[in-house]
Amino acid sequence: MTMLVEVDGIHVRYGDLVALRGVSLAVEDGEVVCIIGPNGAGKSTALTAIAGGVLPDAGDIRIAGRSILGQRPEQIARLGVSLVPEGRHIFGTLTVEENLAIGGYIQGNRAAAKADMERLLTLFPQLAERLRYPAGRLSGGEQQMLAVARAVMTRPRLLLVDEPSLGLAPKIIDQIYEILLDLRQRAGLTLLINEQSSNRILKHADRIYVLRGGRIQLEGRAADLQDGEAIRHAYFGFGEGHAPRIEEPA
Amino acid sequence: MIQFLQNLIDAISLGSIYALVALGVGLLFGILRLINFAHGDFITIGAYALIVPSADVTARLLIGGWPWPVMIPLICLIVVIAALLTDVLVFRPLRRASSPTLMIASFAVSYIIQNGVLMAYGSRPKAVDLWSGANTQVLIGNLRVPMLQLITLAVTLILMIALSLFLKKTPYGVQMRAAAEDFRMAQYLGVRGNVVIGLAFAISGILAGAVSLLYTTQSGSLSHTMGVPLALFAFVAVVIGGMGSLVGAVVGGFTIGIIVTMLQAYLPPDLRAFRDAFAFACVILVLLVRPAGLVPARSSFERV
Repeated sequence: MTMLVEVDGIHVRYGDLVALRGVSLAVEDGEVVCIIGPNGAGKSTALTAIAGGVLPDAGDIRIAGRSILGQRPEQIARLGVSLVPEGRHIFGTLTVEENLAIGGYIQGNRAAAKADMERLLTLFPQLAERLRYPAGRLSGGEQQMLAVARAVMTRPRLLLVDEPSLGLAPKIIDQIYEILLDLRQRAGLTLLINEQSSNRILKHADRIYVLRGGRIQLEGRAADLQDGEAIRHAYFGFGEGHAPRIEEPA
Repeated sequence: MIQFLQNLIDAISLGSIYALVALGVGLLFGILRLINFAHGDFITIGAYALIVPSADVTARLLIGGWPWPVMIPLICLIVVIAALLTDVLVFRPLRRASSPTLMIASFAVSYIIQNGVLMAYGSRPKAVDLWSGANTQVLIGNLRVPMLQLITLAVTLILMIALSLFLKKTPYGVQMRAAAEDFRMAQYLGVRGNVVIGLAFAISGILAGAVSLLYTTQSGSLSHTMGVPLALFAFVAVVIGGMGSLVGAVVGGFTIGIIVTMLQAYLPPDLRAFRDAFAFACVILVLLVRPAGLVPARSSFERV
């Protein structure tokens, strides 16, 4: 299997604040991988760095084997990486249709982009009804769907999704995950998703990384981590009110 | 009443010039968070491109003497090139710099242009007769309206409609609006930042070129600092209109034009010398009532 994205020991700082201290991770073509970790762990920074929004001080990031360090976000977008950022960042004064169109211009083929939009809208009936609405007037769930749809309009191979469930009702979160997994099937997407909680993601992800304090604390296949105990230790840290359980010898 | 209407027409004509300048300033501010004080000097460049470069007192027309279907696009083209050069040479290397840094750089550009003009053309203001027919008056009822004021208003309306169609209907226009609202997000979606910024500079150049023709025809004289008061009033127009809102820039431009003209007309003669002080006092009043401007921008200010 080829690695679609490889993050190799990156360090990222914002001024004096260190966000990532040597993070390495890799996602294979077609995988669903999730980074979980508490608030401030550096999850968003990791995705932002892959999308070209912040330049690491050290380390390397490769897409399909080629380093992308120092490339501008719009160049990385052309390599097939698309980001659904935390907080959605909808263009609120633009219509829903214009928001989607922005993602489609990258193809340089209006007819193809139009066809993509129509196909995509069958997955998002709520958006299809509101094409001429200013996007800022959509509900939070609808905005999240628009952010996903808009990112998919760039025809990415790798979709980076930053906390898709933040501030949304559980029912809507389920709907968004359904759509993400559906898109993975239809468009052959590879997904790298950030979440704060592991409940939902353990069902959907192939592999999981736990990030805390700017370091990867744990990585493993979702199937091996189902009981959640190892994740809990990694997430909260040892000796912080959650002493490791000592197995009694049989 | 007739007197008031006459003043109002003057006000609208002056206001439309300020509105055009404010649009150029507001467009760049929206996308780059740059308050471009050199915009006025783009106007100066367009005006001086009309005449033969020499330090003589009397100006001889160069491009200004050519037929207008050639002259207008050529003047706009020259200003567009100047604006794009400014972007490439000055603002592109400063892409990651803060807004205040960009503004200070624009002051530097402004001084460089002014002194360049000074070196090439000399320091004395020059009289230019671009279009002698401009002051023929058209009678509308009992109103005498100078032809030029009608043309100024018409040009302003045409440019505003064209700009608005461009921003609403074309792919690049939509990308510019997206970039003005959230530059980084637009880049994540593949919008080429430098192209969009270059386009904004080019459009502000076209607007500045149009203003240099209108303003030179109106004033009939050139000076190397002619753009400075225009840029200053346009900046004030952008502020009272609402930073980052193009509709606001236009509204602000007309507001300033009306305030200045009406003060000129109705202030007691002894106080007219202090017209601008009164005008800026009005601006302060507007900002006290509406701190975010008359038409506040809806987009967020942050550019992460």
